[in-house]
Amino acid sequence: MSKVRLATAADVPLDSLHRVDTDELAICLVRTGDGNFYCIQDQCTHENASLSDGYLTGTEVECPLHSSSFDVITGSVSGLPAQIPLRTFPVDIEDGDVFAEIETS
Amino acid sequence: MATDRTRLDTGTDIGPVHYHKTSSAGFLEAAEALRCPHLVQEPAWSVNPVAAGALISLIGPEHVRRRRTLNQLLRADALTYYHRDILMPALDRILARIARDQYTDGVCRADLVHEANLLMLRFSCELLGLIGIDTDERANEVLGILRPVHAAMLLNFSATDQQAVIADAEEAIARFSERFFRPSIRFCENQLKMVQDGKLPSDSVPNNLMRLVATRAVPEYSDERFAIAETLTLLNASIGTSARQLVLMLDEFWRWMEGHPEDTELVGNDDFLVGIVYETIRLYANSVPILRRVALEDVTLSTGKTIAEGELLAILHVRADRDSSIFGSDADTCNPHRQLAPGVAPYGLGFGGGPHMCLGLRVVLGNEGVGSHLLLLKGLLAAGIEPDRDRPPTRSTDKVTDSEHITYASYPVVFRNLSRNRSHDRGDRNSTPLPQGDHSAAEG
Repeated sequence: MSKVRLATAADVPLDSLHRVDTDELAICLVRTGDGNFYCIQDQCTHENASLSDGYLTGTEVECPLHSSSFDVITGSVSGLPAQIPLRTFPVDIEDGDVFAEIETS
Repeated sequence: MATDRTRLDTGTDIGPVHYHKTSSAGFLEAAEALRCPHLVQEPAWSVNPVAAGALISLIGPEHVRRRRTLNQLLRADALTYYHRDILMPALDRILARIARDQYTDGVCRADLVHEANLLMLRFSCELLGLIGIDTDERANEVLGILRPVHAAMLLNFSATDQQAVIADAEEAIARFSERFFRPSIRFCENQLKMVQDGKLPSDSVPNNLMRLVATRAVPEYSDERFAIAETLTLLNASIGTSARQLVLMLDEFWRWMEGHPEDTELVGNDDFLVGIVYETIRLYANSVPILRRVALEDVTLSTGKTIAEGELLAILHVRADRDSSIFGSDADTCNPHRQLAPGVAPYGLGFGGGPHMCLGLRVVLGNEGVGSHLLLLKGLLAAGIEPDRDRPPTRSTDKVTDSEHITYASYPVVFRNLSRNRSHDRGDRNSTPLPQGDHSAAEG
């Protein structure tokens, strides 16, 4: 488990997706319209596509390639063709910075 | 070995293509090849008169951008709208016509192939925003236009007189443009203008391909050739493949029920019918017999197979989907109860795989498994559809290179539950109710 700084919270717009490459893996920092932050694996579980290039509606992220959809809070699949849920990572805000606890599998 | 340096319309130079074919027919190898980022769509699509500039011809980031734009047409609420408000009413109209035109002996007869084509044509035209396909005459005109278009789409797999095929396709494209595409765009532009002027509510213009073209949702759509290519390739794919699959699904359903009378009680069971849908897609895939990819660099797959830079890999996806090591010893036959290892999609490579995986997957399967073909199967079975025992089906004589590629030219059927004066029960009341969404949500 490693704690990784992802961004300055104030720099991240509402309703946005950002890819962050850590030493372990590429992750996707999500900020939803209500201001909350979430962290998910960036690669779609269906095929090789970056979810940070996708589309965010509420708490659902849609893969840019085949439209697989996932809940960014739980990682669960909400739309085909993906069948496998996403990994999610705990997020902390400390002194205005966004951190994630990254556990490699 | 032919060599041809091709520069794609996208500006991506993929280098020399040697067309030194190697093939892949094992499931895992085929799936890996389709997903490999160094094996890309062959450049022939970018010079095909029907496909140039369309999604199918693009690779790399430009392909992802286009796909992302088109994906908005396939969101969950849009799918609900398509299925509930377009597809099922279209089926109802066809069944009403069949009931009205029943033969003098009181039996409602129809040719499933013809009706499936008409049904998917009307559905697809509405889905894309093409207008004026409201009579059988106009529908048949579109089907006539699509024949040479389809032939041109198969150029990469055909040894026929290519120049003649291209000439026929270009004539069809011109006719399509004048008769259907431009009027549809003009209609959409007028609608948008009326919204702008406050004469129509903002949610009154459906979010379909015509709207994406009219609003130049991607810059390339300002070139009419590219916009028509997008429309025709999507229309061709959605009609031909979907209609063929619907016929084959019923064929497989009847075959299964004949051999497994113990499953009679499962006729209205969604899971069972979805099994038929998956298995048919797996067994018969789409209308192209092989998927072809060109190596951008030397590639070695997990199986040890190497594809040299510039080499063409022919992926025999229909054969891969009958790989007994994945699908079992009965892989060649439909088994709606088939159990698969985790991670193997029950439809196999029936929608292809990798970046160019079929855009229509979510239309056919729905957002959560309730898609167009399950709904159609249920609707047709509720109408009492059965094979016409007096008139056997006939297969198409079109030449294709894969022996597993079956297409019916005619499939006579009868409907036992239709009557001239009684609307039928569509069969979607007792299970899987369609979500009651706001239609305007499909406007995106």
